[in-house]
Amino acid sequence: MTRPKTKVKDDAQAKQNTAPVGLQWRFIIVVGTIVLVFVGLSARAVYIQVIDPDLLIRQGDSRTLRTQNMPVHRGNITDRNGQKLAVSVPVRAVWADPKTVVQSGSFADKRRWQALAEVLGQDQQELEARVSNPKKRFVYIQRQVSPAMAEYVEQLSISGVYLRDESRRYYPTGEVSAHLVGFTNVDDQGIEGIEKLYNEWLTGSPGTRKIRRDGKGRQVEILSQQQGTTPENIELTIDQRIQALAYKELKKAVQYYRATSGSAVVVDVQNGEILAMVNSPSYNPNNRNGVSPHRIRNRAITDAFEPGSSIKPIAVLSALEFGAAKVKTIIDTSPGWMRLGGSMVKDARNYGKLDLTGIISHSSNMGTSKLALSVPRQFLIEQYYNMGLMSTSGANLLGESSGIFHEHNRWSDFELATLSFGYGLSVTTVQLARMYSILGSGGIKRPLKIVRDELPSQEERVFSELAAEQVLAMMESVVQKGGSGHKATVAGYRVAGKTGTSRKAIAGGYGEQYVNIFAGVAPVSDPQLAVVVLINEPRGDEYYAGDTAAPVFAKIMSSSLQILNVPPDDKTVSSLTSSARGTNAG
Amino acid sequence: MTRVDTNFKLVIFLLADLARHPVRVLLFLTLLVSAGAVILSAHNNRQLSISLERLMQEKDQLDVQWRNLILEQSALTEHNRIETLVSKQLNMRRPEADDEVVVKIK
Repeated sequence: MTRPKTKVKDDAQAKQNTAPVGLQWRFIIVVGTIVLVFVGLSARAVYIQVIDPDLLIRQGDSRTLRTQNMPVHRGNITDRNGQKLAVSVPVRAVWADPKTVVQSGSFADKRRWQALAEVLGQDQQELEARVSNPKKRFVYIQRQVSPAMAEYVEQLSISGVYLRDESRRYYPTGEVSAHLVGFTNVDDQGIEGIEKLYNEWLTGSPGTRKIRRDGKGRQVEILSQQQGTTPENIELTIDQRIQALAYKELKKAVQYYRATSGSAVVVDVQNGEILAMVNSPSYNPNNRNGVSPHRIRNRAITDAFEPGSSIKPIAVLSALEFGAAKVKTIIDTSPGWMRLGGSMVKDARNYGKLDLTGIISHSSNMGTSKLALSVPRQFLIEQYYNMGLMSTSGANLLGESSGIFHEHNRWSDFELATLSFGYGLSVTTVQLARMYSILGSGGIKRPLKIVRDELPSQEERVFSELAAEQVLAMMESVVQKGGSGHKATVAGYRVAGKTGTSRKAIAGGYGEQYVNIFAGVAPVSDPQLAVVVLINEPRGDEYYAGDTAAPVFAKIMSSSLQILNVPPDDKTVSSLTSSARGTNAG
Repeated sequence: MTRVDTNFKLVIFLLADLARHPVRVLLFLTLLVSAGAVILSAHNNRQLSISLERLMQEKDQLDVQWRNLILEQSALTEHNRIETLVSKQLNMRRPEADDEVVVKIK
């Protein structure tokens, strides 16, 4: 390589340069430096990429990797026809990081804070005070903000103020189904009713995805994906149409009779499904501000009352089932009172000689007492168990009471007699509804259902079909003209029912307050529905169940039968007359 | 002089050389094609990821809309509300027992 250089030079110079030592030396330096530079670069590259690559990977990831939470909303609750009873809607929560707020000096822009306070309807001074402690890192400013408001807050872009996704529960049916469905707290956890009972089932967990974003913020790669659990929906056995009309009638009645409260339960006799369960007073589950706790209680399942005459059919049924009496058996109830132990059992007046139908329709305490005492004690008590009055209804609802019943080893005759006309034990409205559904189904006992499923329910025959039919026929007389519950008549249908007017027990005896119950099944020829209406402490002029609960029963029963398209079975509607009318109309 | 048969035409020389190793050439070409395919598929993957994200956002928005709509629907079709409306505006009422015609199909 040195040759071209010497060629250009003349001879004199060439002679001087015969030994190009200096050049050799420079050349080595240059080459050495270049080699050193490249070695240095490769060493650095090796160090960065092989020996200690974590730092830069971390730096790169922190600019491109994102973890996304996929939003998950609580499952819906629907009625049997798919009508929504509870729906979750996404909303945002506005929160602040006081440290960032203070450090970035975002208080300097007073106008933005003023706008924020105004849109959230808060006091500006108060709001600023809450976020001015730099030691805190998280403060909720407002929760459950509507998406439109959240958008506005986002556009204010105050540094240190952020938004978070959450969801809010809405109850479109409002107070009608409030007791049954229950409600959730601000953190979307069920705290009452079905919402609490099936909280796990309704709640899902959010899935997460790790993604890579490019410089423009677009998702370019999904690195990993974790499926969350999808929340399940719940379908109740409730028919919202029946529920709505039952609530309307009950509310009207509670107001009209100036009652403390009222409950109504509608049960499908054929499978034990609860079609409606309403209470009054109720509350608006969408806005629970200032609602007193007594309104929130689902009285139909929590409150037990002495059922009074409404459970008299059990005494008659026991006598029939045991064979101590026949349908035509005559019981002498005169003189209208008797002494049992040291206590008195008496009727409203002397009914004289009554057959079993007469005992039911006149609601004779004497009659049922005599019937109850005509069968062995253990047999009688067993019937109360069979009717489900000593256990919960099987619907497995939150806070359900199993009534009050004191099991004795030794029953006095008087205790048995009081039991036969519905004192000395307390039952809930739902328990009573179950008892009537057992009567209606011809003696087959099923647990009540509130959540719809295809599983067949446990069935158990607790007494003979014949006895059940006979008792139903007797109870039909209650609703007929002259019976104590004639106001419960439903046009077009044969109804069997029983009134129950019981005094409320107070300390040291019975007070002046009443509980009015009307329970019944229809249509008698092929029972479909059992309805129980309970009016608690009516303060008006009317306090007999035949005047208060019976009319409500009639309205609920007739509308329900109509909604469910149950064919009328009463003589007043016959295909003959209707076809005649049809030709006139046609 | 034996330099006569030396071929100075570069292109022909190269082609001849390549023709002597067809397998290697094929491998080389396959490599190029596969490299291109990798680039293309990576690009497509990104485009699909981008559209997936867009679709998921759209799905979330539609879900929100759906939830609000069923809420509105439930509020508007509330049973008592419909009953009041039809009785006031359309003069409708529940049929009485007398209005009912039972048709028996045998």
